[in-house]
Amino acid sequence: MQLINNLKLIIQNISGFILKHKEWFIIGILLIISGVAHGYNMFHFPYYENDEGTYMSQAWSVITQGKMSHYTYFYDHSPVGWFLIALWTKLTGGFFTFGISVNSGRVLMLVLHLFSTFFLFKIAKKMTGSIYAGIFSVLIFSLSPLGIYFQRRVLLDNIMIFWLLMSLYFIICHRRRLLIVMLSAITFALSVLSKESGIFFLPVMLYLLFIQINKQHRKLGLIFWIIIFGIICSFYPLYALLKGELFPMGSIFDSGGEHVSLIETLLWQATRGGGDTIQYLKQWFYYDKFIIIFGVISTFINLLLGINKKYYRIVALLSLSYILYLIKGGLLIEFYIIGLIPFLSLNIGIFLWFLIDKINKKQLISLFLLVIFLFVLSKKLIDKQEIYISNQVIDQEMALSWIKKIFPMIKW
Amino acid sequence: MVSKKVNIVQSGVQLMNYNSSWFSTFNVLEYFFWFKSALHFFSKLGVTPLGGNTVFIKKKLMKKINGWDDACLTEDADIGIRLSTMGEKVRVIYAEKYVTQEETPDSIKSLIKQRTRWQQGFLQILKKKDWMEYPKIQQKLFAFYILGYPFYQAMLMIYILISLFMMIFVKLSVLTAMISILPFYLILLQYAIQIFGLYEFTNIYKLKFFWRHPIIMIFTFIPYQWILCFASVRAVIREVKGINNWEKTEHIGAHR
Repeated sequence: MQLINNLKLIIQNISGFILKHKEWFIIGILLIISGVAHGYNMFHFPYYENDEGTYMSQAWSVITQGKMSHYTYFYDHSPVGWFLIALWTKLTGGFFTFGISVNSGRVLMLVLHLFSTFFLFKIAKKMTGSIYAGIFSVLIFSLSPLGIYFQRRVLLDNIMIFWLLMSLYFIICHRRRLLIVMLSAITFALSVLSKESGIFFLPVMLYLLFIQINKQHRKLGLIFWIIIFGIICSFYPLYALLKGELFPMGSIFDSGGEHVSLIETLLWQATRGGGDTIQYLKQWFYYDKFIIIFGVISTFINLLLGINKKYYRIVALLSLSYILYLIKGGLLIEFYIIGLIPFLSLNIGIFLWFLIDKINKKQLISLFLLVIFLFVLSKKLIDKQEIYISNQVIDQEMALSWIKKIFPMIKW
Repeated sequence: MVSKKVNIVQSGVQLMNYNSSWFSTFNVLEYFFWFKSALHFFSKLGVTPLGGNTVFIKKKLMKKINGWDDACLTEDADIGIRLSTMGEKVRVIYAEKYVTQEETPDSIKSLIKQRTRWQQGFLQILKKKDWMEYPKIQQKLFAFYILGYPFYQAMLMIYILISLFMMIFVKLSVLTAMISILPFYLILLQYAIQIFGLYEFTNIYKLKFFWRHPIIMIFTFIPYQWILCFASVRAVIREVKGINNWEKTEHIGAHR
């Protein structure tokens, strides 16, 4: 009898503790789901893409050669992304801690993905006041086969999204002190310096700051944000200027000699065409129709709802900014979709909550929906089970060991 | 004084003639930032160098600390420091309607004299070591920072010379060059804050914001700092030499 009473007491204590820290437990569970969905089989699927190798080797060059790249660095991308990779390999004991060097980058992507998951949950929760919106958004973000396929890869876009979500998290979820405004500016600048496409979010960021900071401090906050953002971004052209590589050869400001040029590369990147939109759309649809179709629909509905709800407006605008970037023409690469996935998820999650919020018995409906949701998402993952069982890198690994074998004189 | 249960009230003092000379704009802004913002922070921290007028102190307190120190050039700041080491709270009020409106010195010469006097006064308070009585370590550090400010400003003069020399004659590696540009960025930030302050100032007092001011200030911001540096250097020299006479500031009399 005594024992049973004791047990009861313990259970009560535990459940009391869980209820008290409900949100943290939910976050914990979501992180586990997200981590497993992302991490399981991530060294075997998808195959190593050449960009992944590029960024790993540029990180290697930063550490071992003190240079931006092992080839002539021609400002193809700003370097913050592979600085982060370099830092990561320093912290984790080198490039080969997890096998092939790209694997090390993939572990970093997992870590960043977990952070992104956390930020996304917090943002959705703050915007709606409901944990369900957070749960829905995060589950779509983490369990979409389309997401998993690209989020596993060592790509600058994934790093950009990590910084961007952090920046949004600061201004949306914290009291708007000057320090927070500064942190948001710094992280957004890092996002843009990780991958230039982040700049397309700048108008929404400014608008978000405008409505988030109260009227009394608005001007000062905006001035601070813009200046700090500008200062950090300016280091990139400043570096080029100091190296005499800012202006194109033969231009009036040219310092002479034969060299690459930041401005020249930027112009080239901006006018570069290519990429088969239809082909990519097919590929995206193959992995996940649902997130794209439902996500875009939710975006437009949220935009309408946003007429008198500021956060609905913001999520819709975030998603629309990037859609505009994707359809603006010019170069499109399949993995550019990475920048859209968190915002499509956020739009769906928040729109679903809007529907639930209209009905009585919210708890019950939410839980019911959650079950259906998990069912649908796992169904999709089962359809795309190659994510978890196939080994796409085996040929690449064999090729690598063959090369090692025929060049025994090189110290590997 | 009665309702908030404090024994000391510092009300705002504000220079007004922001448009009468190139340096008056900055001088006005210094008062604006000091009385509208900085003093509030000082009083929250409990380290409050009081201003020269529109200060109200209870008589019993004045008796308790034996009044002003007539040997100190900035006896107002001195009494503020001494009172706040005793744990006295200072209520700072900046209400646009009730600030004491004043004017800037009429010439650069008298501005320098005034600044020299203030800076020397602060150094004197620093030397008197009353601030060592503060109970908390952060209060001590902060008092040391505020009172020693003239000294750092004088050092800045040396820094300016070094940086001018380096700009022209020294070749640095790219990384070092990038780090060494940071002070420039801070100046940029300072400049932007000045413009913002000017906008707020004119807005609050319903004065006209001239768009030429920000443009002029690009060129005058640094020279104004040089003037302050120069005054600080003078103050340090005078203090070291033991010259202690009062160089009176002349005013134009626009707000009498």
